[in-house]
Amino acid sequence: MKVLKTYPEKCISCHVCESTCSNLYFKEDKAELSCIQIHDETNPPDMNVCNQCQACVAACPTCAITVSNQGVVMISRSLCIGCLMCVAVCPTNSMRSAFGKHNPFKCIACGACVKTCPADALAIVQE
Amino acid sequence: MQRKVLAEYRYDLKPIVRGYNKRTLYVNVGDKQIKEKPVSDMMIDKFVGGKGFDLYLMWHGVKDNTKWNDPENEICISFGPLCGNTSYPGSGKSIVTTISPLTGIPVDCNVGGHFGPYAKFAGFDALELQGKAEEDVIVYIDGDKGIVQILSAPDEAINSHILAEELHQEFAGEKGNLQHVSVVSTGEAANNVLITCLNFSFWDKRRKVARLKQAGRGGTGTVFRDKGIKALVVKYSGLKVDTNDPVDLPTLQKTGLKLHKEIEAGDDDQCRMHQVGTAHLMEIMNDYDLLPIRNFKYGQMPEAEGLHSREFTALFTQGMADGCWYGCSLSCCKAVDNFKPRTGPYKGQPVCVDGPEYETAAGCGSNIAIWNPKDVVEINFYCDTYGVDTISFGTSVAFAMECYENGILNKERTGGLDLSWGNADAALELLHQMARGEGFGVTVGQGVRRMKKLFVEQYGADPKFLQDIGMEAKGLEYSQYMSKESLAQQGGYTLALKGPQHDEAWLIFMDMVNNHIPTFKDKAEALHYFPMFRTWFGLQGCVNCPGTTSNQPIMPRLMNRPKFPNTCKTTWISTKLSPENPWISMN
Ligand code: SF4
Ligand code: SF4
Ligand code: SF4
Repeated sequence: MKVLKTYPEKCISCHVCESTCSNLYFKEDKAELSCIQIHDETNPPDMNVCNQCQACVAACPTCAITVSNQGVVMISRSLCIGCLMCVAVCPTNSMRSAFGKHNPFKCIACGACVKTCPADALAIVQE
Repeated sequence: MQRKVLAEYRYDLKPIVRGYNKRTLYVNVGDKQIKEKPVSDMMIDKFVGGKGFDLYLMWHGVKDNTKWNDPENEICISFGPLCGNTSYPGSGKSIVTTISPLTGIPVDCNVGGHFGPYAKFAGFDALELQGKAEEDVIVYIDGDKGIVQILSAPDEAINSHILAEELHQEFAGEKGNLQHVSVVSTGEAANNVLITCLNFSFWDKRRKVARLKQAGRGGTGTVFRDKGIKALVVKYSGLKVDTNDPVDLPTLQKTGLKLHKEIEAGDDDQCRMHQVGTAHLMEIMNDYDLLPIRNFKYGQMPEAEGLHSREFTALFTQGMADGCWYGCSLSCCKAVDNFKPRTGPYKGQPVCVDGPEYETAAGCGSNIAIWNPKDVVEINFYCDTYGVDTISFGTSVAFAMECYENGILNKERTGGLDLSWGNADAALELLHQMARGEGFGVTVGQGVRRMKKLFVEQYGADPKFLQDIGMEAKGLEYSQYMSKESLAQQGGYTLALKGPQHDEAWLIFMDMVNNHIPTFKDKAEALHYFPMFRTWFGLQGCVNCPGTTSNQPIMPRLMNRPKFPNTCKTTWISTKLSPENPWISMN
């Protein structure tokens, strides 16, 4: 399974990953629209991102959530009707919703943030 | 299948504005007239939608002396302004009304399935069916193209588990779009008896079957078949989160997500709607002496352990997104997969059975002293596919069994059937007879009120005794709660407009389990406000369940269950009740 792995002890809370992700998928620089979210109230910071556990797959009433060959949990936008039931069941709160947007979103382990992270706090790994 | 188009109507597709299309669809299957009617602002202001629109249309469509089987009787199905939203649990209901063959007055049923939302998004706030077709027809609404058709329906099966499946396949067109179709149908029993229902389908993508939800009460299926309608079919494929055009999508999403999260956090420890649906009530009702047993004679029996919800939990496939409309995280519509009936025409064939829900488990289980959950599942399956209402079936068979116990009936009079308590084979045979239109099953299928009259006239039974044991009011069979000690529930039953159904004032739990309304004043108040907000759901197109009971954080409070010893009836109060803060426990 392909997953974005986080190393909080290396994270310097620069939030570059959030910018990268939200810019990539929403063309906006907004932490709420990033699949990875860095909460730096704690030390080391909490790096919240999907661990591809698949708990959301069974909850989706339209079968819009599937698992790719590489083990990445993906949402089909054409099937999703925006009920947000997947958001409620995610055990790590990593299925995101932005109220007003039609569909939830989550990390698809694309690796874009790994490349921009200046502190090597992120990596795409096979688990 | 080659179908003849008997009539066709084309309409303009328009987006919904704030939950309304501002038009209804009229179809006369007799003279083949199809037209749309405007919805005025007055209708919206005064009648809101759902049951309100149904009754408005019926008011103008029938006369005060219209009988259930007159061509002018109508079946109205309306959806309500909230129906079809995907953000908030329990928002996919259709409300069906017609003049009931059992009571002679309007009956209303609140039903899930995808028909309501799709028919609404196809372009109509309500559907009004009138007339009688000479030969069987299907009414088809294509919400993608804007076409309504009356089609010939010569050959197919009538029984719902087959017909719904076939019509999903036929009307879906290209593969993979089965979930964009929904079917309303009934079954063979609706040709022969009065205690019938309509089945509203939704395509279950995981199980790959058409699931069936019932507009159960009052004989709607019999009216449907009397009109020569075999099915209604709707197709709509454009569903999105904002199709219903909510005023404030972000707030709706936020509120819906809050409830999803509360359900997710609390349900496993509370009502277990995810695991077992309303059947979780079985042991509570038995513990509190409220479970109808042997025709409402007893409220509690050790044998009821056999119908404990854990037995149904074991039969239901777990871990499925079992909502009857998208976005319902309560997911209470459980199913038994690969069930092989041991009797009847589908003996040995694996089928998917919807339910049993509480009413079915009590009516077709404890009330006729059947304690084997698999027998209940089999009765449930045949009731659904034949189009029989499980509640009226349970109460009618219970009445017949008590008459048998008291010598009013005997084998000679039942055509050889031994109607002793708990005889599941006999109960199933009654059902098969209803479908075949023969034998004593047809008598039982007339319902309790007509049986009473018949047994007095034909067998010289004591009318007073039959009046005592025959659980009907206005001609409708009681639903499955013991109301002997509950003045509030007795009021709830007998004041309900359609007859003794619990949906208007389901006060049994507040009154008898939680003791929340101990005084006469409390009970009287509850009999006022409870039907008010239940009616509100029926106007809006929502389910009568806690998911939409109030805007309070309901689930954790509502679904708390007392831990109690078996016979204890102590007071248990989790939250203060007042008319401003009414809460109900479950249903
Ligand atoms: S979004 Fe949540 S539930 Fe879904 S795979 Fe990721 S971590 Fe698991
Ligand atoms: S929001 Fe979309 S992906 Fe999530 S459960 Fe609902 S339909 Fe499925
Ligand atoms: S791996 Fe891709 S999708 Fe996941 S957080 Fe990083 S940029 Fe976003």
